[in-house]
This record gives sequence, structure tokens and C-alpha cells, in this order.
Amino acid sequence: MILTWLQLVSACLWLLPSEDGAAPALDLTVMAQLPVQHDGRWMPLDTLARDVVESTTGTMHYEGRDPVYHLLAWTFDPQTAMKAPLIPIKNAELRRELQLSDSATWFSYDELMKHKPLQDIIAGLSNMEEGHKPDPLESKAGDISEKLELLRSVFRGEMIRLIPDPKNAGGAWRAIRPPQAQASETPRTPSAVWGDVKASFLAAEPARFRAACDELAALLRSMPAAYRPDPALLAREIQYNKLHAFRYAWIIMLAAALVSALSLRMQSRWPRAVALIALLAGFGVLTLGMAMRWQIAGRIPASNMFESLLFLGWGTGAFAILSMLVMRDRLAPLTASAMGAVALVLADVLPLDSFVRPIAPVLLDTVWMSIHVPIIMLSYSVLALAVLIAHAQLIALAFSPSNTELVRKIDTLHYWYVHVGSILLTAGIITGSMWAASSWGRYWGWDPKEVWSLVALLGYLTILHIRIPHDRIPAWGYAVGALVMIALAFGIAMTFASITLTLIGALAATVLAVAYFIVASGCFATAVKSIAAFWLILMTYVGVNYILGTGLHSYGFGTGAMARLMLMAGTADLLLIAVLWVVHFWNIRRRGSGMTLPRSDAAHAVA
Amino acid sequence: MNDSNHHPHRIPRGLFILIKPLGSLWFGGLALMAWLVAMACATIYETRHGTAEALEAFYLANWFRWILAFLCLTVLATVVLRFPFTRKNLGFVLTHVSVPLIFAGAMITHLWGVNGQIGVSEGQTVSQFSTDQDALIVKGPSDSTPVSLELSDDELARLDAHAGDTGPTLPVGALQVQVLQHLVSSRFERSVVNDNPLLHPALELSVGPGSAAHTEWLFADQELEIGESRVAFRTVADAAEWEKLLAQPADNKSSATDGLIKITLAGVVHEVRLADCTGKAVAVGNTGLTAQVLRYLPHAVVGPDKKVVSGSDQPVNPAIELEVAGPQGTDRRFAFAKFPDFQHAKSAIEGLEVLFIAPQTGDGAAVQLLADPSGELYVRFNPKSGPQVTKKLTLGELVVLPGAARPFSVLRKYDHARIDWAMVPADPDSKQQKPGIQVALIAGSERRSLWLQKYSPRTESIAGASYEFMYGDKPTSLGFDVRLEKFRIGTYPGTGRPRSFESHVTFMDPAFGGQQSRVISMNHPAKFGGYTFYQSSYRQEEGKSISFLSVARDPGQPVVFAGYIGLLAGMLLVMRARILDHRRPSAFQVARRPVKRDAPSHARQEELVAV
Repeated sequence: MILTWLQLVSACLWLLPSEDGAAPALDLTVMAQLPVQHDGRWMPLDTLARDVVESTTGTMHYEGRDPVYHLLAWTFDPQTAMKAPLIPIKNAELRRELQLSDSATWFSYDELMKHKPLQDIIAGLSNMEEGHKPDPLESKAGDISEKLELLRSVFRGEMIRLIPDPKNAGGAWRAIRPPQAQASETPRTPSAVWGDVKASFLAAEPARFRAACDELAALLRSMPAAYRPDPALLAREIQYNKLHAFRYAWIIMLAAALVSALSLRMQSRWPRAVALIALLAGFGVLTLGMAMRWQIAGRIPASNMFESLLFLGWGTGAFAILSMLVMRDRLAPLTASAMGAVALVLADVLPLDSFVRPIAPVLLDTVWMSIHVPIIMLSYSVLALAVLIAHAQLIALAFSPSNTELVRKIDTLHYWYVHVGSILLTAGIITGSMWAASSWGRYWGWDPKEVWSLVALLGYLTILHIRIPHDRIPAWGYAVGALVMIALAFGIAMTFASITLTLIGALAATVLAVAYFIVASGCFATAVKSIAAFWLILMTYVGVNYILGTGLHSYGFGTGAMARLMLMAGTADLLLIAVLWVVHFWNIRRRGSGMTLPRSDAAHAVA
Repeated sequence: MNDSNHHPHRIPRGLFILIKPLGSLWFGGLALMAWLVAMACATIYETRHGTAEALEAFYLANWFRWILAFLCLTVLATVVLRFPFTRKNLGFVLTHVSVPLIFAGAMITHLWGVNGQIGVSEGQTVSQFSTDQDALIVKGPSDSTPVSLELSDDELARLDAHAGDTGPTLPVGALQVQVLQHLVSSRFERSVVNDNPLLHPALELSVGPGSAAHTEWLFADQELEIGESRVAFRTVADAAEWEKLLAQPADNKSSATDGLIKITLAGVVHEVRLADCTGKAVAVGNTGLTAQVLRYLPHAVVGPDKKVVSGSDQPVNPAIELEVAGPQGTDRRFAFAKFPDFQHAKSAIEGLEVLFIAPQTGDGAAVQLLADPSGELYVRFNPKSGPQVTKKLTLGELVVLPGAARPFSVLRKYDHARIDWAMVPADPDSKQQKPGIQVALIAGSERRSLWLQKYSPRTESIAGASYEFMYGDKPTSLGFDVRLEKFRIGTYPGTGRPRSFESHVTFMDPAFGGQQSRVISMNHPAKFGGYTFYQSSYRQEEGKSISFLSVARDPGQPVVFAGYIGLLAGMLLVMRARILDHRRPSAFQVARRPVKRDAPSHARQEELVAV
């Protein structure tokens, strides 16, 4: 019911490609539903087509047509497709490095296969010695090479593997070979029917194409097979493909965030109710999409970056709904829908692989993945909500420092979020450690991902411990502490051996940050620390894989783009904090009101 | 999670003065942050220098442990300050006690835990596993079990700095093996030394004019290309033969010789002609052994399948594959004419040494260097016109060859030359570090030194017995046997992508006489005999699968897990207490009373405790 309704909306909103100019449209539905084997599992041809088209062209809406159409066109008429501009190389610098023409951004298969500078790099990649980390240019050339490989097997007609293995359930399915001659024998072979499909497709004859597709589907159904995927599951996957649940979820959540932001300034209850309903709707669509994905993959969708972002969005929604029920928290719809929307937009916009892929053996056959990943992602969600609240707190303190009521309220909320987030993070680290013990025999291995998750946790624990001005201790205590910290910084500098200005600067900044974490307390400092600690989370979540690029958990490498992005965002955040800090003190001095607020009052209220 | 300190009444005053600051949030926060900074820096260090270095410089370093100890101290101090415990602070105490408990568990793991690896191929049975502790392993003559000497990191670091006679010694029967030196990263460099127990003359030549000269070694009965002419070196031990040689005209044909195989057994040299034993076994003197050349390879190269084949029929790198058979067993090996000291694997026949002298083709060498029975050197060649020249040569004297050939001189002559592969330090930053050690082999008055590169076994004969030496990982006995029946890789349907790795093993415990068949796969370890076996990795070698299993025995793990549960339960209890406080209006009111900065500290404490 809901599904069909959503699909209807989806068709209206996204103008799903079906018109084909002057020529009458071919009906691709029968074709799209055929089961094929691809990428280590069975799927409807629709998913295969989406994968092939998106992997080569970078978009599922290439030329505004159904991907199934492209897949068939490339398979049936490779000569034309080889000359068509299918592969985008959008980065001008990369084109220069590869000595490609600078006027074009799209290149054909033929063009790239004949382009010597590119082929030289690709040839070099295969001779690369083990353990060598490819430089950015090499890794980009590797990406292009993968696209060319993919297209090559499409052009050879090897991509659409429709014929089941009759004996071995896990065996390889075969592609249909093109017909040898125009034979009209009975019973008809798949090759002959395939020939009909091809001829009618190329001639663009809808009636004949439809008949040939039906015949092919029936013939394939009648062939012996050791294993055949469940038709209901294939139908579910087509629904999932058409639904675009995650896109809808962020659109709805973004709307919810805007409405609830507006509702803060309004007296009427209506906008709040609308925002709440929208948040629930967005959360519902997201949950539905994730449930479908879980069903299709046959495992919890928690195995890669894309899926973890979905969990992040889901966690914010779930926690916000919970906190609304438990704490009557008015800010929750705003923060949750905003954070959820951000996570899902990132999942949609970033070049992340959104297809259901085979996963590494260590992730399989274990309950720990279903325990560890959701807990960790839930903790990240809660802490992400906390960082939004922390920003809100800074804004509140900057522009209305005299509104103690508001500041205290936000501080309380922030405290709860950080507290719950820290417990979840602790639970996540502990379950991760237990998983490691069960699959590798050791509960802790100083792997960068492990270490950074602990670093982030220590950051949050420090926030929880030092929110209120602590007891005075004898002066020697402070002296010893300062000495320890300086000795540590000195020792680390010596360990790094090459003492550069950058290193000294970084260590000095670190010592200052540490001092701020330990010494500063109060609402403003707590908010700033929470933002800093969330950057530690971001480092754990993406930085370890994309910046450090080392260790057990780094299953893939970024090419520096992620590092740049993080650096830019971090600098922007730092500037924002600095500006808000200046405004905060300027306002306090002007109004002379800030001092009436006991620095730790709000903290006491919840401590 | 707040900083309330308790009444000091129950704690002795002197202790309180120390514990109170220690248990303060100042020190707690400091310890947390110090740990945080150290770990963050360690990961950056790891990206630059590698995992092993990061472990050594940070995580396993003493100063890092001091930070953790400091953290434990502050945590324990806060707990002590809360004495006597009430229901109210149960969560707090549980949370904080769990932290040192986790560290205590980790300490137990560190001290008594065992973590090693087994590499076992299909059908193979093993009874030992190796730990990552370095060791010197020596296998004595016959089938005696190997003995090993553990080399601690500290000891190796001490031997890093200088070679000396202070290293640890491992007795193997009559043989003493002493570790002399350790190199973090090593490579082999070829040099020629004059300490061969056998007579094996060689000349060091300086080839080329002036500063462009380079040195080369020319061994007896071998040839060297210098420019366009070939230079051969022959020694003549018998005076009569020497006379014959001098009288003989330098007819090129005469220098054509048949290939010769010198088989040394127990210090006695037996000669077998290549032509005689090619394809058929002949007796080696009266030793009871037979020798047979299975293949003669004029141009031995290692083929793509790692087999030695002949690259051409030109005598570029002459070699033979020789089989020596006797009652002790059969020895099959390659002997290379140009590399007489090529290291071969251990031999079934003790003390067997083989030297192969390649056959010389008819055209012969244009220049001959000759050593007479007294050791004097002569050079003999045919000038462009005129009779053959034979003249006496002194060391360092420049020989200008006829035609365009480059001049050379003989720098020195060794009578007992041996090619020595000495290990020299290599770039320590290289990704593929190969550590090495130098050991002294001492048997009675005989003493020899030997370089061992990690994981490369070497066989050496000393005092008439053959030993196998290896610098590797310390082997530990399991106390039972493990046999790998089969190793299976499950793949995703229709692809070669692995989905699962399964080792089908049988555990055999002689103590019980029982067998147990188990399947070990990723995420599904097997427990046996106090050890847990985990699927770690695998390798395919010559069509056989070798499965690598991690072996662990960790008495600390239950303690750590108890700490985990305590920590989590404690945190949840604290959370619960906070929620209850938050809902109770009275607590709110207490807390909302403005706090005066100058209030007596215990009054403030009271207030905070109430919250």
C-alpha cells in the first residue's frame, strides 16, 4: 500500500525515464525482472543494469533513460556504444595529467583504449609490486581501467548471465551466446530467442520485443537450475530500486528540519506538529528502505560507509523520538531531522558505492556485526546530535547570553546527549573488542580504528568529568600535572625524530587544547569541547580510513579528497567557534549580564 | 562522574593529603588527556613508520605504561575517597573499579598469555606453534629434535650496537653456538675470504685502466671475460706436470677439457669426470657412494615456474644436477661452476661437498694465468705475431694484453679462497626489512662464524657433523598434535571472491589417545587443550594449501571481560541515578541554590554528593 503510493509519488517527482522521443517506447519491465547472477549474488536484471550504468557513467540517469535500456543497447550494438561518450573524466587536472583533450569531459571506450598515456599507467598498475600504495594519479587510472574492463565484458556479451547452472548451486551462471545462424528449429534455444530480442530491440519494435522478452523469460524459467532465486525477493529488489527510499527520507527530513526551525519562533502549535509528523514520516521511509535492503542482502546493512551513514541517519531519528517521549525535548525534532538529513544527503551525494556487494569473510557468519555496528552508529548519531546542540549553545551564548533559562536548558540537554552517547560509545568499543577476541583471538590490538575510537571516548569522558569547576588541590598538584604534560609533549617530539616547525606547532596546539579540556569548565567551554570531541569521532569514522589509510579496518583508500574536505570543514568550524566566542564576550561586556549567570549553574542542575 | 570527595574521617590524615589531590579531577582529566594525546600521536607515527615501530615506540613502551598506571592510581584514589561505599555511589564505584580491573586483565594477558601461529599444509601434522619472540633454532645431526634459544628484544638491542663475545650461547651437543651480533635490517654482500679448509686457489684481478679499474675474482679452473679475451686460471701442483705444461705449445685445442666433478667426503677429494657419470651412476672412489649427473645445464637459469632450466647451449652459467646415493640416503643438488659456494639445503649425506668444474670448449682461453707448484704466478698468451709468451708475473704488475683488450693486474692470490656472503646493514627504513644475526660456531678448537637472515635456514658442517641453523620465531610445544585434513575456500556464487576459509583439522592428544575433528573458520574458532585456534590466513604453494592458524591462550581475557561488564553496568547505574535525581524536585532545588565560591569546601562537597 505505502509502497505503491510512494512509487506513484516517485514517478511524478523524478520523471522516471520512459519516453523516447519519436520512437515508440519499448517495454523493459519483463527484461528488468529477469534473474541474473552478478557480483556474487542473484539479482533482477534491473539492478545489474543500474550497477553497470552507474559504475561507468557515474549516474543512474544517463541520458535520462532507464539503465536497462543502456545495458541492452551496449550489449546488442557494441560498435556504436564503443564510440559513445560513456566515461566521464571531470577533473581538469586529471585530464591534463593523462594528456587528454581539455575541451571534452566525456570519453568513449575506443578513445580511452587507444590513449597511450593512460594505457601505459594501467599497464604499470598490473606490474606493481605488492604492498605498493598507488599514488592518486595511479588510483584514478585504476578506476578508469575498472570501467573499461566492465564495458569490455558488456560489449563481449558476457555481462548478462541469465542461464542457470544445472548442477552446482553455487556455480557460475552463463550468458546467452549470440545465435550462430538464423535457425528456426523447435524447441527454440535461448540463443535463438536472444537473437529475436536483439533484432526487435535494435529495430525498436515494441510488440515484437515484448513477445520475444516473454518467450525468453518463459524459456529461462523452464531450464534446469540447481538454484533459483526467490521471485518475491527479486520483485522486492525492483521495488527497492524504484523507491529511492533514502532520497525521500532526506527530503522529508530536511523539510521537517526547516519547519521545526521556523516553529521555534512561532507561538502556534501547528508548525511543531507538522515538523514532528514529517520527522516521523522521514524516519518511517528510512526504516522501510533499510528493512528492504536488509532483506535483499540477507544480512544487516552495516558493512560499508554507505550503510553506516544510513544507520547514522536512522540512529538520530530513533534517539530523537525516544528523547521526545522521555524528556519532552522541544529541540529534538529540529536536531534529529537536521542531522538525519545531513547523514542521508552525504550518503546520497558523496561518491559512495550504494550497491549491495559481497563483504569480507570476517564480517560474515557472526552476530557481532549486528551488535557492534548498530551500537557504534547509534552512539555516533547521539553524539552528532550533541554536537548540533553544542553549536546551538554557542549561538545562544553569543547572541543572548542573558537568557539563562535557555542556556541552562540547552546545557542540560547537551549533557544528556553526551552522557548517553558516551555510554553507547563505550558499549560499542567493548562489543568491538569482544568481536575481535572471537575472530582473531585478541581483544585489543592497537589497531588505528580501535585506538581512535578510544581517543574519542576519552575526549567525551573528559568532558563529562570536567564540566564544573573542580576542587582546589595543593599547588604542587598543578605543577606536577603541567610538568607531566610538558614531558609528554617533549618525549613525543623526540620520538618523531625529525623535529620540524609543523611538529612543534602541532604539539603546542595539542598541549593548549589539552589544557583547555582539563582546565576550562562551564557552558561555553563544554560546548566547545563537545565540538572538538566530535571531530575526534569524525577522525575515527572517516579519518582513519581516508587520512591515515593504515591498519586492519582500512578496506579502501581515499585519494586525498576526503582529507581536504575534512580540513576545510574543520577550519570553518574553528572559525565559527572563534567568531561566536568574540560575539559572546562582546555581548557580555556590552550588556553586563553574562556574569550573573553562574558558570556552572546549569551543570549543577543535572549533575 | 562528578568530583565529590568524601569525608576524610576514615582515611588516615597523611594518606588523605596524598590521595585527595591524586583522586582529584585535575589529575583524572590529566591522565585521560595524556593517554589520548599519546595514542593519537601513535597512530600518526604508525602511518609514517609502520606498525611494529609504533608498537615499540608507543603502545608497548614503558612511558606509555606509566601513563596507564597513573590513570589507574587516580581512579583508585577517587574510589578510596568514597569509602565507605553506599548504595548511592555504587554505580560510581563499579565504573571506576572496572578500569583498573581491565588493565589488570591486560597485564595478565601480557605476562601469561600466549599468542602464536601455526602454518600447516594439507595432510601435515604439527605439534608446535611459533610465537613472535625471536629465537635461534638449531637442529643437530640425525633426527634429533631442534633446540632453540630465545632472543629477547632487549638482548638483541644490546647486540645491535656492537659485536662482541657477550651474546648468549646455545649448546647443541658438542657444539656451542654463540650469538655475536644483530642487524635490524640486513642484506648479503659477496666477498672472498682466505679461510677455506680445502685448497681452492683464486686470484683477485684489477681490471681496467687507472681510476676506472674494478676488481674481480678468478677462481682456479675457471674463466673470466676481460674485454674481448678470456682469461683462465690454472694451478699445477705437480712439478712434472708443470714441466709438461711449459713444454707444451699453446695450442688452443689443448686447453679444451672435459667437465670434472670433485666430490669431497670427510676431507678426501674424489674426482669424477662429467662424461663418465652423465646419465649413469658411477662409484665414487671406495666410499660406497655412487654419483650420477641427472642433467648438465650449460646456461642455468631459474625458469618462470621456479625450476632450474638451461637458457641456451652456451656455457654462460654451467651447472649440473647431481645425485649422490649411498646407504645414508640420497642427496640431490645443483652445483654451479661459477658459484662454487652456492648454498644448498641440508644434505642427507653428512659432510658431502661438491665442486663442479665446467668443460672448456675447444677455442680455449686466450690468456692463461698459471701457478706453478711453488706458487709462483705466470701469464701465458699468444701475441699477434711471434711465438707464445710465458712470463713470470709479480703481484700488482700490469698485464697489457695483445689487441684491444683491457689491461689488468693481479692484486693478490688466495690459496684457500671461499666466497663469503657477509651480511651488512641495509636501509632500516625499507618496507621489507630482513633482520639478521651473526653466530659463532665453536666445536673444540674449531671456530667459525655464520650469518643468518631471519627465516632463511642454513646448513653448515662443523667437526664432521651437519647442523641446520635458523634465526626465526620461537617454537613452543602444544603438548598435542594438530593435523590439517583439508583447507577449503568458499566463494561467492559465480565468482572467485572468497566468502569463507575453512580449516578441517584433527586434534590428537597422545595423553588421552583420543582424536577430535573440528572445523575452524573465520569467526568460528576451536578450543582444544587449553588453546584456542583461529583461522588467520592461508597461502597456496605448489598446488597445496597452507593454512595459518592463530593460537592463543589468554588467562587475562575473562578478567578483562568482567571489567567490561562492570564498566558498562556501572555507567548505566550512574545514568540511572542521574535520571532519578533529575526527576526528583528536591535535588533540583538543592542544586539550584547559588554556590558561593568561597564556601568551605566540604559544604560544597556535601551539596555535590547530594546531587
